[in-house]
Amino acid sequence: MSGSAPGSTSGGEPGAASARTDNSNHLVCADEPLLGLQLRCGGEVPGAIAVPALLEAVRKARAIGLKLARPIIAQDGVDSVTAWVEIEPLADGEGCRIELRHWQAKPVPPDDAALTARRRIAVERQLAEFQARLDSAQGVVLAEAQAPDLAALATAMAAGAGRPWTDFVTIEGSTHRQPLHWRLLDGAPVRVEGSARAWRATLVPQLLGSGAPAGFELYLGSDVPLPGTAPVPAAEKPARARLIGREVAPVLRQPIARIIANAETIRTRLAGPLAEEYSTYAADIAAAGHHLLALIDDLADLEVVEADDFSTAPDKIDLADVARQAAGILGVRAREQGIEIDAPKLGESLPVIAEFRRVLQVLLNLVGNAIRYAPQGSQIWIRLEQAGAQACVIVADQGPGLAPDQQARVFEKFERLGRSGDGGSGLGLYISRRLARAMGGELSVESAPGQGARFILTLPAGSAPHN
Amino acid sequence: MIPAGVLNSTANAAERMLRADLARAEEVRASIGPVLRHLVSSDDLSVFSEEAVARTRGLIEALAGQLLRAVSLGAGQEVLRPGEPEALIAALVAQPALLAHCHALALEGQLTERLAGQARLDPVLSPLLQTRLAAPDPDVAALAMHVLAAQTRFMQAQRRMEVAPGELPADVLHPVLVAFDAVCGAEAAPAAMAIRSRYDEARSRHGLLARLVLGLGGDAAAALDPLEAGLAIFLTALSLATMQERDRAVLALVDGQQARLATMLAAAGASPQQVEACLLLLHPDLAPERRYLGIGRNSAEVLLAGEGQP
Repeated sequence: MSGSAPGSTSGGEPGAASARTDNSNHLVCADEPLLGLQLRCGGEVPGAIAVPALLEAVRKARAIGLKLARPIIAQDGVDSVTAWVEIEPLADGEGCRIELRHWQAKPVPPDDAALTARRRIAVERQLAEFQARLDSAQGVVLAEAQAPDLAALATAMAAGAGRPWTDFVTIEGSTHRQPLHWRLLDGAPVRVEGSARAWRATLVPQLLGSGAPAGFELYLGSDVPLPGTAPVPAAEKPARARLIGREVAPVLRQPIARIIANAETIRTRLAGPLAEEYSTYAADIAAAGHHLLALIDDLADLEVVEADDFSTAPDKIDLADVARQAAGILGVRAREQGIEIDAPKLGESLPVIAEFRRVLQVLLNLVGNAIRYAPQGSQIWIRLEQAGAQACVIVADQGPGLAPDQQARVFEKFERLGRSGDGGSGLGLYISRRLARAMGGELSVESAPGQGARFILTLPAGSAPHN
Repeated sequence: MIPAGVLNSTANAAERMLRADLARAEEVRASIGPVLRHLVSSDDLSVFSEEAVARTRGLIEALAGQLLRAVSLGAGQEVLRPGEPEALIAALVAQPALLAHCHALALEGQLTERLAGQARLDPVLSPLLQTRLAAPDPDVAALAMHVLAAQTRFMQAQRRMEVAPGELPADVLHPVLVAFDAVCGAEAAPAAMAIRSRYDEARSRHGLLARLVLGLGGDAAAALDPLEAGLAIFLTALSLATMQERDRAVLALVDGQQARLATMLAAAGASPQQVEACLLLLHPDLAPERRYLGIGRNSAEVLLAGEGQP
């Protein structure tokens, strides 16, 4: 990800960033790379601090009123990040000033298997809606249900105490004579008569001494809440075709991040020496994983922006600041391509009424596209303009440009203009335009083949510009 | 004739004091077992050596003295009430975090002196620090100079058995100031306020050492060699690389803790040769056990992360 190791030995200020929090421990502003970490941890700027270690340090500094300096460690799903933070609580509970130094990112260390297993059992115990005590042959001793749709099961088990628990439920996908060895049944999908929900069995052996288990705890848990108990989303709309649920995206993201991390480990030969060709295969896996991840993000965004109730949270923001942040985030990728991004200078400012996060998303898409299609050694300009009640930011590149018919199609859904295999989903510009319009603005393009392209994001101006 | 109410409350107060005394006596009795077991069974007494214990107490007494002097200075006159120093010392000794930290400081000071005699390891100016002092980058050289000054002050303070409030970690200082406030009342407030506003953890010796180590970048491996880095920088590097408290790193250096030291070094990325050299330096009379030398980095990380779990 964007974590850059302080490679230089000039102990000055490598990987430095500053940030501010307010009196409710919300991050008011933050530089890269902290900004990226905050976003990857699921937070926003401005918004509550999403990096647990940083939040803890900020809380402590404010509680004890002392200037703190300490290392923090955070994980964003892919990388384990360590950094040195200095936190100064400001007078009168005004929040804190944060200085960050010595940013270092490395792949997340492996989890201890035993620890993970303990954690899983703790979670299952917490979430279980049914529990039973079994004897050493998995016969039922005692059963108790919390969920009403499992009450019948508990009653049946109580009546048939001593019989194996598998007599009372259906183990999905298994035609073997039950009960199998407990390790095979642990985690098995289970159907229960009288309940429409899918259940998962967890068996916790009672190990006394070194012999076979003296008995088991049986837990049934379900990922689906009982109808009527879960908060029902307002006005269910079954008509909309769901591409990839908002619920599904986060679930998919984690295993893919894992695939990428492991592929990167193989590619960089961190786990040991490896033939060149395998390293290349691993690079392909990682690249495909990154593509898949981006696609999931796009599809999840698509669902959000196409929802009827989609709205943004407009705020007074500085378009110049957003543009600088977008340039900062993509600066590394641009430099790898030998492309220079010319962003608004520090001190320039252009107030607009829009949602920070959404404008940043649009600009990241525009600048990302420009980097993808512009030739090596070229320049990308980000310019600001104000015309009356409208303010706009223009992203111009020196790429191949677009013919008039392409300009008409480029904002359509899944439009790839005949390109493939470059990591694009054909959704970015469609989503960006929807976002621009939702904020009362517009996204348009001016171009001619061979002349580069100028994408123009227009937004309602905040007030008169002042430089 | 004394009214019954007064008699009652006097009796209650007496009983309360008696209860408190009994509770303290019980605390002492409860700790006899583990301490005695350690003293009797262990050949090595570096952790509980008379010197380490006396130094720990000395540091805490000096800290109490400094706090009380600050009150007098602020008031412009001696405002000490009888019994106040003893009460403050008792309140400070009762703080586990301060006690542990002062103990670690005393051990680090002792160890630094011992290595200076045994291995000709300069207590203040190590080869690594010399390199940083001579660096062309003025920021690097300036930070190294600050570290040099802080380490010199630390060794001097250790010899005098002193510790300044500003040198304590924030988590230790805060309860100290709270206790200061509780014992000395309103007169302590301006002094405590002054200490708080002057305090900057980043400019304490620990803060400066950490900044130096983090700024090493590609040279970070050198900091894991005590002969090259000096004990102070080595301890900070070990603590940062394993994300363990620095005081824990200090305790890993004493006799009987070779397994912990080897695991921490492995987790920090040291090679088996480095682990062996380090064990030999700290325990020259013991041949390093082979099983401590082959700990893989990943398994060491898992071992350290799993500590404290059931």
